[in-house]
Amino acid sequence: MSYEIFENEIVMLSLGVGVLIFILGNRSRLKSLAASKILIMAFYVLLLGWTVTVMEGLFWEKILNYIEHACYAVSSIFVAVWCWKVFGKRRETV
Amino acid sequence: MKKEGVILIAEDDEGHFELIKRSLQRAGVCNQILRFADGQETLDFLFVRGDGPKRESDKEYLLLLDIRMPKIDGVEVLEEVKKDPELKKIPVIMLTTTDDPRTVERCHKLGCSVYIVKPVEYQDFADAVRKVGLLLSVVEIPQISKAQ
Amino acid sequence: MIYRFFIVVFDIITFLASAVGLIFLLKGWKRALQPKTKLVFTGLLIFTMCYSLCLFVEWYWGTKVLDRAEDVIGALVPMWWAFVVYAFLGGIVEQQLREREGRFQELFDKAPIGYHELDTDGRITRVNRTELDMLGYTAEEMLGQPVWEFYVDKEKSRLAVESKLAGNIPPGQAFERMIRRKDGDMLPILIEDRFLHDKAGNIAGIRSTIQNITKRKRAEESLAQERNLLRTLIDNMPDNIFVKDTQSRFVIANIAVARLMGTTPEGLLGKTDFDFYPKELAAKYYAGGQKVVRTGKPLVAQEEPAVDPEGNRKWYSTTKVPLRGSSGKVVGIIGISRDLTTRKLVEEDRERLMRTLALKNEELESILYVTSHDLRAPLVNIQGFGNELSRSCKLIHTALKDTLKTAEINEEVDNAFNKDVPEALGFILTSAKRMDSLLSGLLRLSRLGQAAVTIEPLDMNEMFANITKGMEYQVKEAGAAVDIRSLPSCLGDASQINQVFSNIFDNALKYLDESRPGMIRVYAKSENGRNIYCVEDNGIGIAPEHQKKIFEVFHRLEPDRKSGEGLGLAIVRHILGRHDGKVLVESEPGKGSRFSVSLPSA
Repeated sequence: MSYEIFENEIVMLSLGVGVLIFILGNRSRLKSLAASKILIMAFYVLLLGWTVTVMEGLFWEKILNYIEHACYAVSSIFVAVWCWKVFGKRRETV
Repeated sequence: MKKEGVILIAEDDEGHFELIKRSLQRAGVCNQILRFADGQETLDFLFVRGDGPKRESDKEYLLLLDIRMPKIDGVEVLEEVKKDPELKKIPVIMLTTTDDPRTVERCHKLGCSVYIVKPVEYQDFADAVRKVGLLLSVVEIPQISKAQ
Repeated sequence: MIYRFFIVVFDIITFLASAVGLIFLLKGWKRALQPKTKLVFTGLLIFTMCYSLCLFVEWYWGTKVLDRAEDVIGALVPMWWAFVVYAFLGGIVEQQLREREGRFQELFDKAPIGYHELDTDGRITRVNRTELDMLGYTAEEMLGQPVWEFYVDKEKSRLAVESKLAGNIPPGQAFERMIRRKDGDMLPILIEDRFLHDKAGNIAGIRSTIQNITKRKRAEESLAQERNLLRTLIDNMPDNIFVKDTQSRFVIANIAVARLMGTTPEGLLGKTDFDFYPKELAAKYYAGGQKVVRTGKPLVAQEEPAVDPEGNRKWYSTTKVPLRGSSGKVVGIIGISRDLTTRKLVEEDRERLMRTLALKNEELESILYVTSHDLRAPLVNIQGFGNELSRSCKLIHTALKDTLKTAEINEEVDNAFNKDVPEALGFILTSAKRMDSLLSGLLRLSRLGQAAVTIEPLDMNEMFANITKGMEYQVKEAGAAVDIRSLPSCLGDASQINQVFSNIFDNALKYLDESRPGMIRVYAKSENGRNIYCVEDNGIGIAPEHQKKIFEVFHRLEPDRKSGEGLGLAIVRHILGRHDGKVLVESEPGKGSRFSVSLPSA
């Protein structure tokens, strides 16, 4: 068994979980945001990526790494889409 | 009516009484005639009270009653007489000037035998009395028992 | 290798997507001015950078420095997300606050009531749209001005406001003022105010609401007018008008009631009848009123006695009606009573008179009755003894006939016995008889008064047939022709009306003219619900001066010629008097007479 756990990955995951809790606690308020669903989805996917990158140190290294990078990509696509929705269309407030 | 029967005449007017008496006599009635000048005297005699003459028992009596009399009037006398169980047997002939139908009705209700109105016309009067006399001669009068 | 290739592809996509996002952000940069967006921007930059690094690190270098950089940036990413969420949340909250504030602002400005605030100097610090519209000013014109400048009564307002601010008068009670609009119109308003307090609890100003009460004032005015009108009406009516509560206490009373009770309308309020009337009378009124309250049914036109302050007896016709509240329950009584005293007094008088009359009538009749009987008795004697005298005379005559020899004496005695005595007796007897018939007539007259009158429809044809049949003999003897037409029916007492026409018919027969054949005609005519029966003859007629007298008692037109007591027409008049009938005579001496009897038709 080769444990390759990087501390920074753990840190990122922990922070991510903290933000998750934060988001989950304010779910109702966040709903009122424009296109909030997409942004939140982006975050969930990102979180998944961080989870996976921690886990790849334990098992299935290759596959999980693959998924990790995929997640990052998907997440940023979502963010881009959100930006397009929010800033591309004419909106007064955010 | 037997010869012993007594005719009682209650009449306050002397003249009327005299006329009645004469007419009766001329009609052939010769019974004893007793006169009473008012209702009080009549009742005293019949009910055997007071100071005057009193009824005797086992005698036949007939009463000729005028209505308009002082003290007690004829209708009241009639009433009193007909109330008494014994005295009511006495035949009562009303002989009076009043011809008011109400009075006639009342006297008949109380039980008088005959009601005769005295006519002013003398001949009629005399005839009436004569008829009474004839009646008296044929009528049967019950005896009334002991005076109390 | 393929694996590695895909990883790189993913990383490139990440980079590109972030770049695209960034472009959009920059595009909308000007529009979205909030600070949050800056954060987003920054974050995206970091994102982009971070993952570019991923690329390089993975592909080309494994340098420690870049690796470290990657770690740091990687940790920043979630932190940035936290910031983003936090910022967004803040934004949301701010937005909500703004919305709420927007709503409050709307509430403030569009409230259905005018609102303003004053500072400790009485100047207007805040005023809402409604008030501005109400008064026609702009905000600039009102803000900063002392509030009393806008009132009509400036001095009074100033004193009041200053007093309030000083703490002398507690605010809170609504009061009315007249305020002046910009265009000069005066507006009646209702003001309610409260204190403004600062953080320390001191009075920092006054807040007031104002309402336009023009409509209300107008309604009040017209109500007052109406009430005044009603009050004047009620007060000036001669009838007693009052309103009582369920305990029969006076709530409203007009002047007439107050006068009857000997007080003023105000003096009656809250009191009951028991405070003014004797107990039995008051109890009766109370009972009547309570019945109305209990049953909810009105008591209409009850005649009740009352007593006025001077102690006079009065009569009233009272109507009591239940008064219902808005729930439909009985909350009081409304009453009106009319003074019947005059009418009642007149009625009482009349009744007394009628009774006296009836009594007097009775007296008269009984006197008549008794007298006629008592007068008859002596007549019996006169007649009777008259006859006795005659009889005795005859006896004496026959007895003397033989004894008296002398012719002269005989003649004288004869004369006396045969002529004088009978003649004297004759007069005595006829007089007695006459008196008797007069008395009989009087008796009949008096008995008429005592007899009952039974009114029924009468067949006049039948009646006249009976009359003529009964007098057949007299008719034949008088040799008169009788013509009776068809007659309508009338209303009356059968026997008494029969008497009337018998008497008239009898008279017609009695007073025929011997020089011509007698003709009696009977006919009738109807008009206005009455029938007029006419008995016409061609007899001797009646002179005008006698026409009234013939109806008098005992009056006889031709005493020597005809029999009768002279009561016939008196009886006719008496009967008709009791019957709602009339008799009229028309006559011409030598020509004939017509008697017209008027009776109600059947």
